[in-house]
Amino acid sequence: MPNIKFTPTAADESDYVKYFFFNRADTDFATAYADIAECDNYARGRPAGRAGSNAVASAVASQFGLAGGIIGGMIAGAIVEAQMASDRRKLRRGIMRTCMGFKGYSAFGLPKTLWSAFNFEEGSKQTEEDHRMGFLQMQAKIASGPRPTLGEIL
Amino acid sequence: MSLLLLSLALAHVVSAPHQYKDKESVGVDPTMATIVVRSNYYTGIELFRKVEAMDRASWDSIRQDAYAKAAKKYQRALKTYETDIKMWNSGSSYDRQLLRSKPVKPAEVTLDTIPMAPIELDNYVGVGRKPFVAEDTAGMRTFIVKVVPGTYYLAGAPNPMGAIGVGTCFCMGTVGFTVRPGQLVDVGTVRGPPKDFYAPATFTPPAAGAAALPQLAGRVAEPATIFAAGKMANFKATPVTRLNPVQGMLGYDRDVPLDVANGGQPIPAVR
Repeated sequence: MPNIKFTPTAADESDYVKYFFFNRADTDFATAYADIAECDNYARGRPAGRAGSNAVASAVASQFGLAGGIIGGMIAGAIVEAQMASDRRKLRRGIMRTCMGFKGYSAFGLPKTLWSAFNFEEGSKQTEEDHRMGFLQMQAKIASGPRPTLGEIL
Repeated sequence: MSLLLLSLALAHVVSAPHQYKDKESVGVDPTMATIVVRSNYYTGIELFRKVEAMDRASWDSIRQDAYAKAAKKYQRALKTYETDIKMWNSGSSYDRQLLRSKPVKPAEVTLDTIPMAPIELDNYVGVGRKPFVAEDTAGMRTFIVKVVPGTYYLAGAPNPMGAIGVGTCFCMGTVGFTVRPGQLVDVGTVRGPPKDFYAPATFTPPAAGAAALPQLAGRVAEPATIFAAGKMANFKATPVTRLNPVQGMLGYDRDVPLDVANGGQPIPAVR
């Protein structure tokens, strides 16, 4: 069971919007895992979404490229990619919160250091399947465990 | 085979929706269907047409054709590889200089390795924010769209530029309707929160006579028969949400959509 015990700081609390986990009373592990896996599927979407996003990035990058030459294009491309990675992480967080919220789970914040032990972010690259499954199982363990005493995001 | 492909390709072209402008009169096309729909999402409204056996046959056929082309290309690449690797393995320094580096065997082509988008992506009908035929002061726009007849689901708000986090999918509960060739139907109103693609939207079923629009030139859009629909996959990787419960039609047991009109049974996922 991952460690979720901590004493919150103001910095931790301001990051709850990014680093959180779920918990629901009277839920067994299998149900929690199925729920988290379903929401994870929504968050992953399909390649078409990414293709569209890449098309936008390429279009923007090529505009910079025309104006500033090849180097300018590369720099603009890197900036656009960084922004896209940030947007993808935000999208994943939004989908997980919404989906698990409809399922009746509460969200609880925690520091990034603890969060990283059983969560993953997908900005620039996808998480490998076996790692993903391991993380989701740990999340399900906590989601079906005792109710946390602090950090609830309302 | 090529004739079939041509006709299937044409079918795809024909299936593109036509969105009417406010000064355009809506004619009667006995092979197509016309719908009236309202949405306040700033990107418009998106529909998803149920994948029918004919759609799947069309997609499979195009996929098989792409596979046949890729397989031919693969066979040519494989032959080249076999010749080159023989040269490389002969140990002649002249041959190796010619080849520069050790030839790499081409990856085998199978149906599964053909890069082709899921068939479902062909069946989205994006109704963009413009053109519309009417708009009220609260930003609720009325759209008239000519579509291929079939069974449709309100799928969410479109993401026309592909920007991450824009648009929404009513993936976790929505409604649907069926429209026949030549039919003109009103499918109701979707009111979403202005700037939040994750919050549930409110659906108001069509009322008789609500779509008395000048563009219809005296024709009356009959209220579509709306039914509750289940969850859908998030093929477009947009934010997800659902419709709020609709009285006498759609309800939820936590996240499970229920068919309230038919005893509250859980609704199977849209496929």
